[in-house]
Formats: sequence, structure tokens, C-alpha cells
Amino acid sequence: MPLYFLTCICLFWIPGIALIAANWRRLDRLQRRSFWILAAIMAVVTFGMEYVYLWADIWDFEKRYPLLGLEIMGAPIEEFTFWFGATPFVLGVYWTLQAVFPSLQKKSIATPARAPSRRKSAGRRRKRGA
Amino acid sequence: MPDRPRFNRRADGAPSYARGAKWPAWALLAIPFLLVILLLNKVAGSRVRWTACWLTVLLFEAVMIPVEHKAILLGHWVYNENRILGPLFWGIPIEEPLIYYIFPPVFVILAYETINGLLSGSVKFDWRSDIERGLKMLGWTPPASAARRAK
Repeated sequence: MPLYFLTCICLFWIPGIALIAANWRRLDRLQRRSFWILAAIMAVVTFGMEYVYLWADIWDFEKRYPLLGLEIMGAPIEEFTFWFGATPFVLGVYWTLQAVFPSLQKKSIATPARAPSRRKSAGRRRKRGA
Repeated sequence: MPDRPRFNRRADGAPSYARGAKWPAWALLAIPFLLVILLLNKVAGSRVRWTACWLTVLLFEAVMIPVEHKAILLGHWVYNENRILGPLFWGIPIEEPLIYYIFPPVFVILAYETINGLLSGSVKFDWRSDIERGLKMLGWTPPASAARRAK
């Protein structure tokens, strides 16, 4: 059984595609375009990275469990299903979190400080007067 | 590509191998990632919903740690002991949870917000000054900008 390939499919591709599909309608034209451009960039970047890491001899594959047998320049095709699947998964989670918890849509940085409420300031005034 | 290595067994049964000179390639090769992240953060950091971003990283870590633990035990990935820092977390090289489960999700989100900002026109990418600012943050003033300032 090609366990590595199945792991990548179940771990990244199925949840990633499901999350992207669930969010797709909420996205405007530019966001959809950004997603495809990013997916293309990440495919190129991760393709290159795989060979840099293999060249640096950081890891290898024991092949105790059968791989699909397809290789691209010495790297098993499962590696690319792993790399390419991470982008839709990460963006899908990022969008879903914002959809499920609308408070996360507020930018967490550079949030303006809250002005003190009227009641509090009125209370303070009264104290001062006393 | 190097030839197939000879695998040994770790105490937990996971395969491993040690080959070549010892240098922490796995950690050092993350530096370009970090530089690009710093640059993208300068450009589009204000567009990122950071709480959602860090929750995504947390979820990514929570999913990946058990999967990688199992994948290493099964031999899907076998790390060269001479190319990692050495300490292991639950059988996983420490670089993974500390670097590679954090940087790639942040990189993906920052890159997405940058591209979206560029397409919508709300982000302007001035390559030269953004790279100069990034380098200055790292404590290095490029000679070209120093000469310009002197003028």
C-alpha cells in the first residue's frame, strides 16, 4: 500500500480542497487570482527546495513501504504531493478561521486604543467631586 | 544526487544514517526563508490577520508532529544525522517543530497577502528600498544607500 502517498492525500489534499471549496464563494475575484498565483509560485519554490535539500543530503527515503514508483529527477513523486498540498491546506485553514471566528478578521496589530466609556469617566468625575 | 545511504536503526526502531561532514544544513537552509519572510512582513505585514495566522501555525504543528513522528518511524523520511542540529523532539529533528512548521505557513500567508495587496493596488513593492530596509534591520547598510546618504 503506498502509505506515504495516501498520507499526503488524506492529510493535506482532502482537507485542503474541502476548506478552499467551502471558502471559495466568499472570495472576490482578486483573492481567487491571488490564490492561483501563490499556488504557482509555491509549486516552483518547493520544487526547487526539494532538490536543494536532496543535494545537501539532508534526508533520504528508506522505501520499506512501497512508493508509487514515479520519480522526478530522483525525487519520489510523493514529495511533491506533500509540498504542493501544504499551500491550499494553510490558506484554507487561515480563511476558515476568519469565517468561523469573525473577530479574527480585525487586524490584531495596530488596533487603535479604546476610548474610555462615558460611564467610567462619569464615575471618575463623581469621585473627584467627592 | 548522492547514492543511496546505508541505514542504521535508532533505539526507537526508526531508520537513520550519518554521512558526510557534519554541518547543520537543515537549519542553515532556512535562512533564505527567514529573509524573504522579513521582507514580505515589511511590505504586507499590516494586512495579515496575525491571530488567525498563528492559530494556523498551531494547527499545522498539531497535525504535522504526530504525522512526522509516524513517518520517521516508518522510514518515509530518514534524516542524515550529520546534517541536523542533533536534538530530537519525540524522534523528530528539532528543526522541524521550531523552524519548518512555523516558517512555511507564515510564508504562505504573507505571500498571499502580498500578492493580493499588489493586485488590489493597496501594497506597493519598491524592491530596492524594501530590500535595503530589510538589510538594515539585520544590521548591514548596503554601500549604495550609504553613498546616497553621503551625497
